[in-house]
Order: sequence, then structure tokens, then C-alpha cells
Amino acid sequence: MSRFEEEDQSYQQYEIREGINYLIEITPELLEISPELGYSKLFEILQSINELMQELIISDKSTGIGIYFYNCEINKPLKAMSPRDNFCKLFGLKVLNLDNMSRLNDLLQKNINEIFKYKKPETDANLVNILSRVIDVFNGFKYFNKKKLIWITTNDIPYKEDKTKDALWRVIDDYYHYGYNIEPIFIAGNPSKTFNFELFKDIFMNTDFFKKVKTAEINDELESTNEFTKSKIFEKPIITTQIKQNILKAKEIRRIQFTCDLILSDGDEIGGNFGCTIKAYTLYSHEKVKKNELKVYTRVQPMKKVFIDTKIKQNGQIIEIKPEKNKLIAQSKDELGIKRGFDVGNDVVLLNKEQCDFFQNFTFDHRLEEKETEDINIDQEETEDKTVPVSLSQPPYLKLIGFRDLAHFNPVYSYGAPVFITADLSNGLKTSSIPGGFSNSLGTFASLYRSMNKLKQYAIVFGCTRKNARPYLYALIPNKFPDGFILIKLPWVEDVRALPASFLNSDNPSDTNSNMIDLFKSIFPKFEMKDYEPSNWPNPTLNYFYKIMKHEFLQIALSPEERSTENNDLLSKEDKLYIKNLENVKKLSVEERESIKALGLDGEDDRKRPIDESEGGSGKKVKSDTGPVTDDEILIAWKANGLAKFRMDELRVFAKRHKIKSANRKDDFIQNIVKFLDSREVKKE
Amino acid sequence: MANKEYTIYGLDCSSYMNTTQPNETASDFQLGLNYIISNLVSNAMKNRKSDRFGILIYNSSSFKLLYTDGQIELTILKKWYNTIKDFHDQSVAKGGHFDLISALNEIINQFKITTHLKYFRSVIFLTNGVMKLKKDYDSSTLRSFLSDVKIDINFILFPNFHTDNLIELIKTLPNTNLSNWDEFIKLGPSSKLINPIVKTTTNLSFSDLNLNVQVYPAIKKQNSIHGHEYYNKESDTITKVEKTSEYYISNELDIEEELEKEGDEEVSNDVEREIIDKLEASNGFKISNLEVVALVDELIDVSTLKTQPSINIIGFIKFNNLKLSYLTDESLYVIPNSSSFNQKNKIGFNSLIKSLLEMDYVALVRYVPKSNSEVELCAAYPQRVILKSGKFSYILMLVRLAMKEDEKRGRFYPLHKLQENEDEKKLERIDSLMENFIKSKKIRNDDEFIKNTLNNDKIRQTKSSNSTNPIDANTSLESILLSTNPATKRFNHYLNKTILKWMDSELNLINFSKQDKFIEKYLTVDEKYTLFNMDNILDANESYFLDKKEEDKDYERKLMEELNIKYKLQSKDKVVEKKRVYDFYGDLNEAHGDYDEYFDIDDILK
Repeated sequence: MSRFEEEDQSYQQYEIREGINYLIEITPELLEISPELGYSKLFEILQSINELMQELIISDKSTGIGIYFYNCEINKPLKAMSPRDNFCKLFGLKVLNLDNMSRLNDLLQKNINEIFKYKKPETDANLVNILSRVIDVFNGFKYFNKKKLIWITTNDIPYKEDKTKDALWRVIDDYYHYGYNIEPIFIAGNPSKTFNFELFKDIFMNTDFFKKVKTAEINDELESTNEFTKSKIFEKPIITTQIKQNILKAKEIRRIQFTCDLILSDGDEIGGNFGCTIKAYTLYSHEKVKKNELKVYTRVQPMKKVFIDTKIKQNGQIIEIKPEKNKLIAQSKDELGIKRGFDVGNDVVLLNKEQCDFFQNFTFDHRLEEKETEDINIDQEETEDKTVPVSLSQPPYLKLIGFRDLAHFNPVYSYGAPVFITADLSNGLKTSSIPGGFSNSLGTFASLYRSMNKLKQYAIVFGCTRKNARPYLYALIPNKFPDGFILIKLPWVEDVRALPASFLNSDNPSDTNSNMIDLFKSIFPKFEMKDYEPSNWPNPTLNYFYKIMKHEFLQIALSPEERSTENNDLLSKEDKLYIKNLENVKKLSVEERESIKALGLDGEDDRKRPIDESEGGSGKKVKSDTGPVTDDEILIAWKANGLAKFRMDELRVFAKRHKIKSANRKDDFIQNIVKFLDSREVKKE
Repeated sequence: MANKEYTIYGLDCSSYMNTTQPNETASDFQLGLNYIISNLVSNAMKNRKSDRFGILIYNSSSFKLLYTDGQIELTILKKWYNTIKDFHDQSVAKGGHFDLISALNEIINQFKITTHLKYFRSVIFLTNGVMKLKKDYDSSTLRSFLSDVKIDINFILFPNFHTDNLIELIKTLPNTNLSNWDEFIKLGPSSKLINPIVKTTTNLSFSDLNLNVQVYPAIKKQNSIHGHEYYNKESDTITKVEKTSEYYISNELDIEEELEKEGDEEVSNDVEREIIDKLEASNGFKISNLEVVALVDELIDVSTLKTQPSINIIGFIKFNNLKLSYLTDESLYVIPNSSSFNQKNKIGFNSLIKSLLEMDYVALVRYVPKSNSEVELCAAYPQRVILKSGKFSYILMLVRLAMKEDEKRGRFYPLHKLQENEDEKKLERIDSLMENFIKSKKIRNDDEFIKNTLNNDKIRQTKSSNSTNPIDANTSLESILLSTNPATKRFNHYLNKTILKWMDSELNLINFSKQDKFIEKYLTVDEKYTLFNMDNILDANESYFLDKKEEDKDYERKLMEELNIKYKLQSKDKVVEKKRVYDFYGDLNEAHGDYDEYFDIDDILK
């Protein structure tokens, strides 16, 4: 893991493209019907992989999955990899795709015990061949920048001869030389029999697999949470009911957001010298349907991908910017005479790169009172992890402002998803986006964490979390499970909006009714939830969209029931939240419902007063009551080059009437309309 | 609604204005002039086409009105600047028939021309009052006009020998405000009101309970000033850089192959291109990295889960049982429909919020902002808002929660497991020092916190204002932490300063900023600190939120020693090698991706 993490932390755009191969040993225990599940462990494994793929195709499209089996009869739909070794696949490693997903799905619909039959291996050496074949498979994929073999078995005797042991050890060592991970999942086959790890320990011993665990020094560069879990793998096999949980772990990837220094001191002779280096990881980010990820051209069959090439033009002439090594685009532009200008009225203040950088220089001055002893010149010295005083911090950095009571955090002014903060175990020495870092960051960080928890405090910090990010205030709040802090962005005053004036100036602003309050307080506890876990709440809109898209792609007609608009209106199937809402009503007794009804709060508002001019979009044109625009009006405006005077909604009405392509930007939209009208005119002529 | 501004500045340009304030180096005249010009530059930077500005300058014998019926432009401003300076230079300290009253009358006359138009009219008048009022002044016409047309008048006095009868006169005028220069410059920055625009009007429902409510944005991230790219090689002329896009398809590969290649190297430039019309390209949806569906309108329609705007309460959860890490979007206000006369609706709403507050509940709601938009799951926090009158009102605040598909967390290092090999006594010592450190850095006024209550001027703002209350010892912590973004402040400060310095220059604006060592010569020369520090990152300086004690430094020193904290640099060759690879580092959405390179601040400040 650590090998790739190193690249990962450098910049956000880095995409994790993980290739996972499942290698499943077919054993009689795996095929037995498990009393806990009511079906076989193999079925549970495959079903869990199926579920994992369904989730990953939404959140991590670039993941690749392959499913391989050994000691298995090669029956359809399995495909032979090496018949001599009883080694076969359902599908080979490939980036997630519907084709493979439906293959697995189809398999699960069948009676898998008829397909999968245990076939005893002829020699010990089979496994060696198989594991080397998997290395070959991995080698064939440059696309994946992280590769992992998940080896699932219930068999605790992987080999019998010492000769094989040595060969296996060499293959496993090869995996780590290539940088491929092996994660074994040992499943308890027979409850009465203890799983003996000794043979496995022997083949994993002294490979890189264990090396990390052995390194006693916590501050070692090799960071991986697996270090802790790895040693456990050889202590206890997982039981049947943990299969799913173990397989779904594959989606738990740490996504690094940024690495920076957290500086705790200021001024005097300490300046910014007291601090620790931290790393931030994504916890949650809203998964959206990306409807304009790419452009396609559908006028040919099959459709084509559309490429877009954007160039800079000046007075009709294209300016070529040749990408040069060791040179930033901004620098090349500067040399070509392209500068950034800021419009002030009709004038422009032109700034070159240096000036722009100065205007947007977010460096923090720790006001260190430097002793005039040594003058450090980093440029001239070849420094090997040299210690220097911290007087200035260039972004990225976070700077402590002070501490507040944890109970004094009001979460209502929210900007977006917080990130998770933990210590940088390599003390900032392994990350290219920062020049260095604080020694013993973990010690400092852990002590800060413990003490803030004990005193029930959170910190207000200031800073830029990336090299060219704008500065923000943040709340740094202790978090449990996982241990660390969460970092929540706090608003600047210009980002806070006011409430409407009519609300602020209304009479009797805080009037309440005690009967209502009594009623509410008696009913609400019936609907109390102990906690909220995102994993229990799938997004209805997203899942509905994917479902339809899958059908569309695979050309499976939706059942009439599913197509029914009635169903859509009721949201009966897809919108679990809506169903939950409907179900809630049932929790109330008839009397309670009557009491609510008796309040007369029906949301109806029949006595509307005329629109108050003093608020609500006063800057915008009020929609006219003169009715929709006529075609004539549009045509006149088109002739006069004046379509811009219409509002988007007016243009949309016209466009819809004539089936003209819509667009998000008004300019584009007008262009579509002009094009349409122009083409009509030509036809007439 | 009139939110256009019409401001006329009055500036005393008599030679009496050559006096200097005790804490200032520039004369009263120079301070006044710089204030006005800098204010006008700020207004020009806002690029508001409909605002109007004028400056009336006067001395004892004459006056001059500088006015342009159009957007304020820098070239005009520069002309005015020079005119004002010349006018002041020519002023002699000899009696004439002109005084402050006649100057005000001239300003009023200018306003009279456009009384039929809707403007926020204001006068900002700067004088030190040394030039006396005529003994027989008559302010009756002035008063009668001012009672008909609302004009905000602000007198800013340089406190030298301000005469009693001036203050007396000012007190008799309606809508008039008087401030001293040194108080005036302490005022907080201007505050612009963005009119609240309703996002959703719908019912907040729970079983058979339906409350008519409106949703407004509460937090919306303001974009930073981006500017445009201009082409300027050697001449004085500049032209805007345009971007042009070519849409094309390639017939060499089929779409699956093209998609498969995406992760590898970029498609080479040599492929044969078939140029297509931009309009003929439709959106594609990548269902997987190998499979694409063209999103035609019908498909978009079928694949959209049909929804109606609504807010449905699904359940309740105790405030402390909802993890903060699940709050994942900009927050929204929910208030009873403000265009409704239905008092019962409002009382119902208030009672609901009050019940939630008393039970320490947060409501979990299903929220659909508009027809067919995504179904969101939100936490609905009950809140009290303190109003200007000191009374309060109830609102609900929505923050979107993460759902199943949004989970991106990995597995992390358990911090409590680290102590196995460590010396327990040492840890205790460190933690006790750390606790003392935390206590020493406790933010002031933290105890004034009232749970579930919002009490700030921004939430209750009803109109834009040129200044905000000054920060003093009584300013609440909530207000101090709601500061102006220092990045915006810094940018505006230096842009304004660039223009102000240009006023004294012979060069045109383009060549002015092109000069060598421009930053050192004009921008940083008179400033002590040119970088962020604890005193300038918030609107209040450090002493307003932290109490510093000398002994507190000891905790820091001891902790550094115990924890062996040293700042270490990566070895040089390692850094250089890596920099090359990550040339394109940066989050393009956050700032200008083009300007991303470090530079050495010391080089600039030399």
C-alpha cells in the first residue's frame, strides 16, 4: 500500500486505479451448505464480490476486478486458464464493466454447486504455477497503478513438500518485488477443526509482507494500517458470517487530500517552531451523476467519442503554447506576453506573474525573533534533512489560533464535507508538495489529541490546505473511530447570507402555542433514531439513474411495471426515504393523528398578500404577466440580432416548440436558435 | 427597488486643511483626498454601472463640482485627482464669501437634478472645521430640502479646532451622522447585502402536519476575483485573449478502444481529425470506463427519478448522536413562508422548533429542492436567531448528510495503540504540559456561547452598508470569527494601492505596473508587515481574541524539548527531482491553476 500512497499524496487529481484479482481455492468445505447462511460459502463470496462491484461502479469506476479459481473442474461458464493446474476464471482482470458484472450476476442466478466441482490437485507444484500466472496477468496491465491479489481459501495445507515451500516463498517474494500486494483471507472451513497457520506463515515469512510489521519503529517511513491487521491474519481465520465484511473492505481506500504542517506556536524566539506535520484524508464526498463527463457523436453508428482541442487566440491568430519540460504553463504564457488583467471600470490593471503571486501570497509570518547567529542559506548547501527555524510558512499550512469548548461548536454554518486529519508518520519528509516537516509529528499529534479529548476542547485553525488554495478558518475537532481530528471549514462573513427582511421585521417573531408544543413533545420520541449511519441510506436518485442506464446499455427492456409513471409518481420502489416517511405515519395512533389534524396546519396558504417589492430577488426581473413570447417576437429579434434580450425560460419555450437543442449557457443557447433559424431560411430560399 | 447608489463627497480644500493630526504624517487634506479616491477606486472595482459619484471641492472663495454621468473610470478619477490637488495648491487663506453651508447647498443642487430617479443618496463630507462658517449663515433651505428627499449625510471631522457652531449646525440637519476621523478609520469593512432569493417554497411535512415554508441559502461560497487573460507584448495596447475550441472525432479507433486508451498516454496529435460542429456533440455518460451511453433528452427524462419539491421529516436524533463528519454541503435556512398572512402557520412552525430545542433533537428530513431534482437527506437543526430589536425568532437549518454512495473513508491508524513501547511517565508529563498549553491558548469570550443560537449582524442584515461596527472589547467571539476573507482583503488592498500610486505617476496604467521593482517601490515600501500574521488574518487583531502571558511560552519550550520537535527539510536533491514530476499540481477550482509556483518572498522584499 505504502508504495502507491507516496504518489497519491502529491496531488489531488491523482486517481487510484486499483486492479484486484480474486483467487479462490475450491474446497469441499467452501461448497458445503453453511447452516448460518443457508447456502455455500462460495456463494456468499461471489455474492459479496457482486455487491462490491455494484458499489464500485458508482464510486470507483477505475477499479478492475478479475475472479479466478483453482482446484476446480472447468465447467461452463468458467474459462480455462491452465487446465493442467485446474486453474480457471469467470472473467479475467479488467476495469469494471457491465459485461463482466452481468456474467457474475448470471452465475449467481444458477445453481452454482452444479458448476463448481472440487478437483483434487495432482501435484504440489500447481499452486506455484498459478501464483506466477497471476503475476503475468498483473504485468499485462499498465492501466492499474495499484495491484492486489486477494487469496481466499479454507485449506490450511497449501503444500506438502519442502521443495514446494521454497518455490512458493520465492513467488510470494516476487509479488512484493513487483509491488503487488497479497491479502489472504483464511476462512474457517470446519468449526471443529482449528486452522493451522504454520504452513502459511512459512511461505510469507521474510517476505516484504511481514517486513513492515517487524519494523519496531513507529516513525518508520513505511506507513500502512495493514501492518496491524496483517499480523492478525495469521492468528485466527475469519468465520462464515465475516466473509462479506472482509470482501467489502476492498472499497476502503485512504484518499489523501493534502499534507501540511500544523503550527501551534507564534512570536518570540519560538516562532513557528512548535508543531507537527499532518495528513488529511477524504471521509465523504457527494457522489453525483456525471452527465457531461464526455461528449459523443451519435450521427454515425456506432457512436464516436468527441475530442475537444482548446487553443488560445488573439486577434484571430492562434497562439501556440508549447509545453516545455521544467517550465510551468504560467511561465511560458508570461514570456509570450499573456498577463492577467483585472477590470476596474473600463480600465484594466495588468499584472505580471510576479505581481499576481504577490497579490495572492498567502504566506504566514510567525514573527520569529531570530537570533543573529547563523544565516541559513538552503540553496548553497546540500542538506540532508537539515534542521531549520520556522519563521515563515508558505502554503500549505495550518496555524493554530486557539482553543474553544467542544460544546461551543455550532455545526449549522456548513460549507461542505470535512476531512479527516491524522499525523504524518514520515514527518513531512516524503511528500513532494511540502519542503519538510516536524520530527516526532505522531508524538505531538497524539498528545494533542489525548489532551484535547480530556479537556473537551476543539481548536480554531487558519490556513491554506493546498499550495494555491485560498485561506480559511477551520474547526479542528477530536474524532473517535477513527482516531484523529475532523477538519471543518468555517465561513467568512461574505459567505454568510442574510435572512429575508420580511422575516426579520415580522411581528411577534417568537410566538408559540403551548398545546402544540405538548403534542409534539409527546409524539416525537416515537420517531427517535439512536444514530445515523450513511451506509444504511442509499441515494435513491443515483441508484435509479444507474439502474435505468444499465438497462439502456444492456438493452433490457424495463418491465411495464417499472416503466409505469404511476409508480414513479408514488416513488414506491426507488425512493426509500419517501417510503420511510410513509411508514412513519403508521407509528401514530388514530388519536394522535386526529390531534395533529385538529391543529389545522395543512400548509395551505389561501390568503396570500401581494408580492412584497422590498425583497426576494429584487435584483432580477420580475416575470412578466404578458404571457409567453410568440414566435413572431423571436423572429423579429433574430433578424435584429437581439435574441439576448429574452430570458432563458422564454427562449426555452420557443426551443421546445421547435425541438431546438437546449444549452446551459445563454450564448450557446442563442447560437443553437440562430443556427436553427438560419437553416430554415436557407431551405426556404 | 432602488439599490443604486448616488454619493457626492464634499472636501474642504482650503489651505486651513494643511494641518496634520498627531498620529499622522500626511496633512488633513491629503488624508481626505486619499480617502475619497481610494473609496472611488473600490467602487470602480465593483464595476457597478448604475452607481453615480461626484466630488465637490471648495475653499473660501470658490467651489468646483466634479461629476460624471456614467460609470466611474480610472482615467476620469486621475483627472479629478490632479484637479483637486491643483485647486488646493491655489487656495489661499484669505476671506471670501464661501463656506461649508454654501458647499452643502451646491451638493443639494446637484441632487435636485435627478430627484425623480430612485437612488440611495448620500453625502460624505470631510473637513477639519478650521475654516469658519459665515456669521450670518442660513441653513433653512437646506433643511427643508433634506426633509423632503432622504439623503444620508456623514460628516467626518479632523479634530483640530472644530468650531461649536459647526457641530450645532450639523445636529440640526436630518439624517446626519457625525464622526471623528480617528474613530472613523476604526470602523469595520463595508458589508454588501446579497438579496435573499428563495430556493424552494414547499411544505415541511410530518404525518398530517404541513407547514408552509421557504428555503433560502445560508452559506454560499463567494468566488475569488479571477481577472482575464490579456495579451500585451511590447506596445501599450492590450487585447483580451480568446479561447477557441475545435471539436473533432477520429476514425482510427472505435469508441471502446478510445475509452480504454484514456488512462494511458494522451491521444497523439497526429491522428486524422474529422472536425464536427460543436452542436452535434451530445453528452455521454460513462456507465463504466469502457461503456458509454449517449444522453439524449428522452433518456435523461426516463432516467430521472420523478420528484416534487418537499421537506419530509423522517425521524429525530439527539444532537450529540449525529456525527459532524456526515455534514457535507452548504447549509440552508428554512423559515415559515414570509409572504403568508397565516399567523397559525408561523406559530405552528415556531412551536415545532421550540419542541425540537427543548428535546435536544435534530430532525432528519428528506429534502427535494425543486421538481425532479435529486432526493437529499438532510439534518435539520433548530435554531434561535437574535434580531436587531433584541427579540428572537425560530428557524430551521438544513445541512445535507452523506449517504451510502458518498462513503470514501479508508482504514486508519489507531492512536491509542501507540503507547505500548513508550515510557508512561514521560507520556503523562507531556500530556500535562500539553493540557497547560491548551489552557493558555484558550480563546477569549468563549463562555458567552449560547447553544443553538445565531447572533451576528450578517444574518440580520437588511441593507448594504459602507462600514460595520468597530471591533472593541465587547465584540462577541461569534462576530470576531466571522471576518472578511483575508485573501480578498489583501488582493483589494494592493489593487487599490496600485491605482492610488498611479494617480501621481506620469505613465499610463499599463506601463506603470510594468516598471522594474514595482512591488518594492510602490506597494511594500511603507508597510511593516506584508504577509499574513496573527494580527491581520481576522478583522480583529490578536489582542481581541487571545490573552498573552509571558509564562505561557514555557509550555511551548518544554513541549518542544520533551517531544524533541525540530523542523527538518527534505534533502535537496529529492525535492528537485520530484518537483519536476508534479508541475501541474494544484486544485484548479480553488484558485488560478496557472499561478502555482513558489517564489522567494525575500527576493521581493529585498
